Amino acid sequence: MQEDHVFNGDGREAPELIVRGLTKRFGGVTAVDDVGFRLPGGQALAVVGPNGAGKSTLLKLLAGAHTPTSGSIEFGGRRLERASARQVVRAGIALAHQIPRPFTGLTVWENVAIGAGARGRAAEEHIAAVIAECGLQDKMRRRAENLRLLDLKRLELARALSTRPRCILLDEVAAGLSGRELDEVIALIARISATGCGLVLVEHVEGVVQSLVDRVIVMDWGRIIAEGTPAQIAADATVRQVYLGDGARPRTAARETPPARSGPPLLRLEGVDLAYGDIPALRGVDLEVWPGEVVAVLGANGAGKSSLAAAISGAERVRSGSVRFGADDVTALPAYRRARRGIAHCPEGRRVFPALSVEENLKLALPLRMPAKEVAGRLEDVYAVFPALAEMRARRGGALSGGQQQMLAIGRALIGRPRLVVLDEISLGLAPVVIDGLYEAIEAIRSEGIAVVVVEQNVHRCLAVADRAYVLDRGVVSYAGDPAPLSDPRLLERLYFGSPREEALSP
Amino acid sequence: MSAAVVLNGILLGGLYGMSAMGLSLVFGVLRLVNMAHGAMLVLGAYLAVLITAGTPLPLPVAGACAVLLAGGLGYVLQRHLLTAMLVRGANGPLVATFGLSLIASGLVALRFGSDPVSIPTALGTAGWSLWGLDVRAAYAVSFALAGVVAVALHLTLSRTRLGAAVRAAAADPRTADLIGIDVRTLYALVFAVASALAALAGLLVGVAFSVSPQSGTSYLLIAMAVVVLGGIGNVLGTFAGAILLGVVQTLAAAQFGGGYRDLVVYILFFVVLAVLPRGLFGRRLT
Repeated sequence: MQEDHVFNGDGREAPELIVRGLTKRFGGVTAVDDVGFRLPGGQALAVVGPNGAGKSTLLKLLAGAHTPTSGSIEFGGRRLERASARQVVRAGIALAHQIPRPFTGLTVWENVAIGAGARGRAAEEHIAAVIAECGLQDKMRRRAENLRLLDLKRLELARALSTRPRCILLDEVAAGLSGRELDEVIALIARISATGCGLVLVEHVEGVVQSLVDRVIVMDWGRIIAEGTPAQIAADATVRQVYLGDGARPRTAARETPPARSGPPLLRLEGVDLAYGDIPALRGVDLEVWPGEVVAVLGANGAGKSSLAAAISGAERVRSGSVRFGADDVTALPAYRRARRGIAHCPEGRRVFPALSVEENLKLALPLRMPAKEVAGRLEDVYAVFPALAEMRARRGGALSGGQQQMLAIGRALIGRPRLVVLDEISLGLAPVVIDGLYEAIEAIRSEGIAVVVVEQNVHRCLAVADRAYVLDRGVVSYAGDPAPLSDPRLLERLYFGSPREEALSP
Repeated sequence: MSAAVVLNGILLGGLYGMSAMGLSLVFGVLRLVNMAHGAMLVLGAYLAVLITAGTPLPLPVAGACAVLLAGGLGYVLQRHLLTAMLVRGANGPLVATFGLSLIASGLVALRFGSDPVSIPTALGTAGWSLWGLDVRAAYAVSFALAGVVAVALHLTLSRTRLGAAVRAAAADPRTADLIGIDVRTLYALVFAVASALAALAGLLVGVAFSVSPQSGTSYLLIAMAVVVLGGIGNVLGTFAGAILLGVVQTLAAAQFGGGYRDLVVYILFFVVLAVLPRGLFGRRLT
């Protein structure tokens, strides 16, 4: 075996990655089915497709984290389908995970140094270069658990780069980023690609795919259903149907009848301060929501969007200020009592109970005393909005795909017939076609007269349905009002980060 | 002879199962190692003694009162002391329950002295013949009660909406709170049920053997071994683990002498932890 043979990645042409007939079965489920492609040295390939299509499994097969059931992986003439993860890394393939998992308790430097392996001056220079390349030089001595999302993503890339890869596999590195942060990560990946390192990326964020790769393969149910340049794929009818959906088209339709904002607001936040320990998350936030309107809450990562959602639902207690719902001051009420009064919060990350069935998950949000007949009726109401859930009512929450879990989480918020629903990052990590379905559901919710607060990174989707919008910048409301002007990326950028910038924001 | 030993072991296991049920429930739902579980068991027995001595109530009624009192005490402890600590981490309530167990056994010793006490009843000394084998009536009653309780708890947790709420509150209390579940009350309810079951076990121990202010510790250890055997939060597993422990212990005592009773518990505890850290039947509840 060539275990001792270390590719050092300097100055040599990157090898070609050839995948043939790759198949992976888990029990009766074929997650990856006869997948094959060639990636010439130094080129970039994107793998897209709906949730559960097998994209992450494909990357794990390439990285040696899973062993394929059949098929072959060849990299620079070396067969890797039976290699362990460590051998794959040594052969020059590195994986950056979707959810960064650095070693907590270790500093950024130490995290990168582990991947770099060898000691000595040359290794130290390499580590320093990787850290600088990823823009972490100011945070080298910081512990990994104290990093914010963008820096965690940078560290995940740095850890992958530290092994001197000739081909790097990126699993949804842009998930959860927006605006300037997204641009920065795209620029970083572009720099890596420019060094001649091969690139395979799994990605939902369309801008990332468009700007970075030469070729795209589209997967569905474990198989490749289309292959081509980004432009070809964007025009492919099958791909539109299973993956991109209508949301990829520029939006034209606006809201026909804005709701009359007469009478008192349903929800009113006044001067709300919220903090985690010494770290302020919201400062003096005022917000009003009238019955039947959709209010968008936008902002960069860490701007306080989810904290605002938590202040509304009572998941977090406010430090000062007041929260009024209807005629009552609910500032002192815990979340469960606000939920019973009609404030539903669909939390970020779905938070479905994985061990409970779909039906049990839904019923949890109903009072225990509710008669069985009424419970059955409420379930049918939810299944009418999300027919997919009806088919899997007995399935465990943990066995659902991401999109189905999100439907379940929204259904669980709706089943109690709330007067206000807070939807926190419902499109995160989901395929565009799935997001289309969720936003259609928002329209259905609004038509019932329920007020909706939509907290989103996905600016354009969100603005398309919003009657009014708020933008948060570091815990302070930087904009409140008509959503239309926010379609201008330069204005949005200024509101997100408080300072003007020359470049336009990529959509 | 040997069949009688096994049968008595199985029935003794029922008593152990009753002793462990509450610990298993609290461990599974609240993620709390309740060090006061043994003390609550002992307290249940002494409460029954106190009530029968001080009132004209017959023993079954006095026992029911003791069980209800223990449940109420558990509710108050969880609602007003332990949950607030649990929010900040599992160590606080662990130490707190240990402290509570010291206070409880101190108070019991102060009132009753440290000599063992048994609850005098015909059931304690009666023996029955089952399939031609001699068994102690107290064991048989404990076994039947423990079986009923285990099945009832299991069905409640797995089939009812209340049970689903308990499982949800155990898995993710924050989200449970968000969707309208009163997590603190639910936790208090779980702790109350666990305390009542501990007291019921204490009653049965008091009838079958005897209790002293110090015996809480040994029943806590037996209960822990049973919970580890059966899988945390798995009430049917707890019952099955208890039966296994009862049989192994009785066989060992018959083979090597009574002195090896406790040693067997510890060895089994150790081996299961080392070889099957998830217990014989795995985790069921969450």
